[in-house]
Amino acid sequence: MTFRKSISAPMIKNAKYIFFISVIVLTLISCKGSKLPRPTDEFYVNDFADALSFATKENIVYFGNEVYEDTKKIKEIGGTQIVFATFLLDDKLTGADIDITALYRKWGIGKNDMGILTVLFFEKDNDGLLTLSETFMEVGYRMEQYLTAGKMGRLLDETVNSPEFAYDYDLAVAKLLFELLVIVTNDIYPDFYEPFDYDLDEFVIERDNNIDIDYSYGDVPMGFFYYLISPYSSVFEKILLGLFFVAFLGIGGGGIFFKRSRGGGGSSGGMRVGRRK
Amino acid sequence: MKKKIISFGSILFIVLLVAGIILIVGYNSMVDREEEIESKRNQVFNRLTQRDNTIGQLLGAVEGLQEHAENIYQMVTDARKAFSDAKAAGDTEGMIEADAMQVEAVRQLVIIIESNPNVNAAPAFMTLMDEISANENAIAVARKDYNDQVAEYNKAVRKFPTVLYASLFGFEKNKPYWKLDGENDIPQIDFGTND
Repeated sequence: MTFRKSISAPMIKNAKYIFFISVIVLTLISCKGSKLPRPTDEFYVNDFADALSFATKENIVYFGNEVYEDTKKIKEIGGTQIVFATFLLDDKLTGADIDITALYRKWGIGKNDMGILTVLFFEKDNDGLLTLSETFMEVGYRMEQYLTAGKMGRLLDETVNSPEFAYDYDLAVAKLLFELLVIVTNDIYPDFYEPFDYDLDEFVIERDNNIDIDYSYGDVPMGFFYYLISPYSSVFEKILLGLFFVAFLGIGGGGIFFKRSRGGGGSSGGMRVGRRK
Repeated sequence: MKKKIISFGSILFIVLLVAGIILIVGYNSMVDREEEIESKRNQVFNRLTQRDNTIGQLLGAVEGLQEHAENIYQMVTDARKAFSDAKAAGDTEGMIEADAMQVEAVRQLVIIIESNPNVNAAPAFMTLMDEISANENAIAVARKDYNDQVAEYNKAVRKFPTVLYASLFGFEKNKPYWKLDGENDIPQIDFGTND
């Protein structure tokens, strides 16, 4: 009498299907849960509240990318990333749902922990107009020495929290970006950059000339597949992707291509300053 | 017979090899977890030191506190002394107690400064308030990171097969969490989010 049993071809076929279905189910399970969004493809601007003008978003992406690409090779303090995110608070999403430190870590902002994340929470008033309710600025571990809490508070007071910009938060955000660039060039990389200079009036002209541009830019989270291969997804999710990939090839699929991720892999210790309107 | 002995020996060898690999990998991962806890604890220590320094600056920036709020001044200085003693002794339990004392002392200090016009604050006061507020948040994050790491360790040490050899290698069974007494009663210091 033998306990050995030969494995038949139909059994292998069934096992393949079971494995493939299991991978898909596990992948779907791993997708649910967190209310923290994935970053947008533009990475530096994540305008989920659709609150910023095209010109402001374009400047954030342009300068954000330039600073990161210019400095990422600098030892120990290289790879500064300046990231902005806006959220619209309503019945479905409250400020408590967005753990800013968790968001920072999920997006992996800044190489060498040299990141700056500014989060703006908006609400809609009775007329349906967006109003800025709260702003938070959080920095990565190593950025703390350059952008102290006192400096962050002053920056917010002079921009998004200033009465001067009470009716133009978009301009306040642009000024905040430019002030951060002044700190980046003057305080963090003085040997690498000329001091950054800007003219807010010039920016206003640029913005008003582009005011009609209204297409999706920096307000759609990156696709799930890009998310899985980016540094923002967990090891578990990456393993699932690997299994999915194997199963996909196993049934004759293919044609996978990759997109460069943007986050520098930085982390934050929760050093954050906030202002409420 | 000889063949059976050889095959039994082979099986025994494979079993021992697998058990050995599991033991080595398990032991190393527990060592990694312990080191990670140590690193997170140091992070909490660093944040508490930052807070202590900021409190020192705040006391320096506020005039007339000792005259108008003797008990608060005493509370703050007691909390600072408890922290410095615990830090010198490397005493985690003492550090947790000092942390709780400092939280309450800072809260009382801020209330007294904001509500008492006889206590004057220097222009740097708002900056220091931002520093304290941000640091309180960073301390909360550091405590949470530490507790998450302890929870992971405590779970691992109770799970199979680690439970079989954890005490053999001297791994502590229940590492204490960084929990402040009456933590839920301590109001969050969030003046940094006010205008």
